[in-house]
Amino acid sequence: MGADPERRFEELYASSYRPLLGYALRRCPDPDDAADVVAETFMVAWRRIEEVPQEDEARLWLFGVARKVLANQRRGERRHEQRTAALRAQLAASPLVAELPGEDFSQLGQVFRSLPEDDRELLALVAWERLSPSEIAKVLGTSANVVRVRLYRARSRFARRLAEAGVRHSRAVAFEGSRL
Amino acid sequence: MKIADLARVRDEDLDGDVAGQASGAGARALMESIMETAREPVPNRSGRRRVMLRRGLAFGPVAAALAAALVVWTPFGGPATQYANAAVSLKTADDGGTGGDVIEVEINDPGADAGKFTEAFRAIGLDVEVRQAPVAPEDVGKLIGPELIEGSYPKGAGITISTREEGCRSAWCGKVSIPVGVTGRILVGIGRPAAPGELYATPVQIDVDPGGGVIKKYDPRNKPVARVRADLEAAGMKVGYVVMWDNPDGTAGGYAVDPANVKDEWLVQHVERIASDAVTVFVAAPAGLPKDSLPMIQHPSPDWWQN
Repeated sequence: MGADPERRFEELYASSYRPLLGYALRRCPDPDDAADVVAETFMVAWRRIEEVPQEDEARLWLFGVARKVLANQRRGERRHEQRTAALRAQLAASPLVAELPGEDFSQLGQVFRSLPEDDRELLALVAWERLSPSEIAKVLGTSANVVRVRLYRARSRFARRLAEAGVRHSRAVAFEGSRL
Repeated sequence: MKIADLARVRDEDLDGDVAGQASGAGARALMESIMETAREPVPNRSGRRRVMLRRGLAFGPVAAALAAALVVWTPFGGPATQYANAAVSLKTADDGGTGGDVIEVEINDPGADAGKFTEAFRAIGLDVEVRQAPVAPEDVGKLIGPELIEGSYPKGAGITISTREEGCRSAWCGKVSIPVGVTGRILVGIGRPAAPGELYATPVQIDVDPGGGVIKKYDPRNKPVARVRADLEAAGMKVGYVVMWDNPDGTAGGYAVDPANVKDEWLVQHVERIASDAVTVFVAAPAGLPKDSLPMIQHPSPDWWQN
């Protein structure tokens, strides 16, 4: 590596900010919460910069931390730190972020949201983050084989619920852009 | 329609938006704000026999790094959120996403009875034992550790500590975070002056005056072993060695070796003072020396947390 912690963090921030923001915005209805997820995740990375892996695995490591931050938020923790004030203002000024669609009320969206949270996140990591099972394994801290089994079950549950809802699902569980 | 279509925003969309740029004003402000905060991990004592280091890791005074917020896992139900006595003030707070809470710590009287510290931690729901720990003069009164005894951390988690100097009117201010789900006994040290020759609970940076004594700004890095050894011995220090090998991934690892196996011309990476009269010299393995090819020895290690 060779870089000092400051330089390493700056490089990490530059390369990972956008995917991490996207990850957070896709999971937080409120952009302010997404800003907090980004801030808290990078704060952990800064504290533990020696532990952050190199290159693309850094992004996976950050997603793993962001999962925990999101879990804290879902447990009711909300804090809009002063340090995110400028970022929140920037997000609010962005037409793209300010006009993000709300919940998808299509049948597919409703069935997707009815899935257990673990299933949803697993399918989202594939379809939204376009991660392979081995990459997801790094995010979740488990093995690729475990991920494959869990993915199979999640997709089966999703397909079953789609069928129960009368949705033709031959393509609905296809994962655009995924490496499955 | 596919699951991908359910995403509220795609990374490609963010590409063309100022909000998605790390160089945007808001993103830059956040990064700079984060980098202004203290950033020091707890040293790994259990790995004392083998030393794993990231290349480029700054070895600032470890003492300055030690301290503060204990993230609380509260299986007891309804503990106090803050507690203060003559020894210490504790307050629970949020952590930055490591999966647990944090305790903000201010040490009011480092010389107070250890039982007073333990009482305070237990009052806010944290079952920790507090002991006096021998330290270098600059670490007296600071929080040392914590040590985890006979337990383990959740995968990928660990204890972090940070020191707050700004606005601190106590002997020591900072935060310690402990992840949810940690098992075992947690032991926290409060720095007390080490006796002559007693091993420090946490090593400190060495600054040696070749004329004798310890000064600031002595820089042993990239000097030959023979030169550094002469300087240190002139200062009355006993010298031990750790040889470090570079790994292809940019990390380095090594272990303690017998002085007889360290060549005079090898180059020093850094030096840690481990007692008032002893140092550990970290030496870069020369090119061509096979990894882990030297016999390993065991350096004495501090045992303040042991019964």
